[in-house]
Amino acid sequence: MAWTSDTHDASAGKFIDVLDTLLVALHSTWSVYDSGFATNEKVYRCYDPAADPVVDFYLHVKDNQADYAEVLMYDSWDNVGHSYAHDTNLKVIYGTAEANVPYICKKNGGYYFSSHDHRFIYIDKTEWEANYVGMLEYPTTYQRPKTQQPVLITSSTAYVSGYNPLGRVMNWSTYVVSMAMIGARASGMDEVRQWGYLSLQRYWICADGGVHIRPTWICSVIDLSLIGRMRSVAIGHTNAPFDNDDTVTIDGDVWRYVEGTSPTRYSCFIKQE
Amino acid sequence: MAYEFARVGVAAGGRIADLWDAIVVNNAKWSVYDAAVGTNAKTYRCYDAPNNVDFYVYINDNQDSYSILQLWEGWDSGGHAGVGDTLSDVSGDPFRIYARGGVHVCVSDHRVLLGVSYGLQSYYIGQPIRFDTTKNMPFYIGSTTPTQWYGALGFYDAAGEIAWRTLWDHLGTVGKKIWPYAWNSTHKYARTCRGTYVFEDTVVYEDTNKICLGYLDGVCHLYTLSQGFKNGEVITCEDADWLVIGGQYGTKSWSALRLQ
Repeated sequence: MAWTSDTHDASAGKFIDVLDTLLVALHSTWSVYDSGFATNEKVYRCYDPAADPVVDFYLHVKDNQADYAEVLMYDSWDNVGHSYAHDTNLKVIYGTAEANVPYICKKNGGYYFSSHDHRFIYIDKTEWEANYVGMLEYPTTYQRPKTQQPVLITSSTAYVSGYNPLGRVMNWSTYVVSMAMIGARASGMDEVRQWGYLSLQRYWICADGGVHIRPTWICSVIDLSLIGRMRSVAIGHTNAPFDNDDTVTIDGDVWRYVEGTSPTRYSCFIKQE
Repeated sequence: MAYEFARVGVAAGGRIADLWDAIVVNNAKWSVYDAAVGTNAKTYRCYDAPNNVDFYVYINDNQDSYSILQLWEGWDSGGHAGVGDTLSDVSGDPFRIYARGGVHVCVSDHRVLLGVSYGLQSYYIGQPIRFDTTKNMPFYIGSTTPTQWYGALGFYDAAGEIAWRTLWDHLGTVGKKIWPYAWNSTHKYARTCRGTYVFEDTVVYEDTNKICLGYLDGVCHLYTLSQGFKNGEVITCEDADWLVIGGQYGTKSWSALRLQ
């Protein structure tokens, strides 16, 4: 795991640079699987046969424009034909509707990046939007699913809204894509939401002046069941008396606050790791 | 921590106080403080000075099917009367613990947790796992004078039915209303896709400034989301057995109680 704070300009290819440098170069589980595209487009594979369940998913990243990258998730990839040749529907290619494709905002105001063998988090510091791509965590084997259920929780076409995807985990119009590639019923394109969804009665501040933080469970909408817990992310929804980029330290861990730039704030804390 | 399943009678006397006498006071932090309060009534003390815990629980068992419960700051064992601040009612509705038949009793140093078959009610008496352990903040969460019989620990403070109150909050305010975290969410899922369950202790915050006071020790508030639960079922999780209970009202308000 690694936490990076850095800057890049908003031009084409910058998000791919981040993945190449901070994900593929640091984690043997991540690789470039297909680079036979036009400019600034690649497919990455996250593959860990030793994991339980086995992790194996593909990200098709289209980064040939300024300000955002399109990120699609698939259960397989044909790197000869450069296509998702065997469509099982175990994929994430949109949220609420087909037009609402997953975008990750990558403007020029700097970013944070949290890498892990099985997932990454990218936080854009202009719109203050945090995106989560990959596996959830399972605190014990008792809770672990039999098959991988990677999720893609990102902005969508209205990424300039400043709505933080990790502050409101649900498929939401043009704002948020929140899907599992494989859901609880082993079906694809399964919407996921945060535990405690839609309640505004979620408060952080404790009587001792501290903050209570617990990584948030994610549930399948269709099956009404928990499919895993966000690794290092605690969602607060609204009502957080903090500003973007604030930090709190709990038991030696630094948690960074993100709420977006929209007037209605959707907040989360992300552990720096 | 201790868990026991007990059986209590219908008639006045020897009901909830019997549970305290037989089970609760086995914990060294709990004791009978005044056994001569009146007919079928006693006062107990929960005292743990190093951890800033000190409160008194008056229990009057002198009626059928329920006992009257009051929390007190102090108690005069000579005059047999409460002293100082009290948490005894909400708008004149006294706190009543309804019990006859089977009762699940969970005791820790600083709180008592009950799941009862009568009305399928649930009760929390005592401290949360406090975020600020310098503050003495005993709660009463349970029924008052119910007609609908919501499940108390799966619901919220509802006039005439259920109290979610603290004797003092972190600022010393008496009788403050308290709330379970994300109380009105219908997405408080507990079942995993593996078919197992995850119950986490619920955070409680006070009503005015929305300051979180602590975790309910062994209580997971689940609200009205039906997840296929059945009243009174015990679900074995990795950490413990949990009793799921939802009240008797048509729309159940669920909670899970850790049987430890």
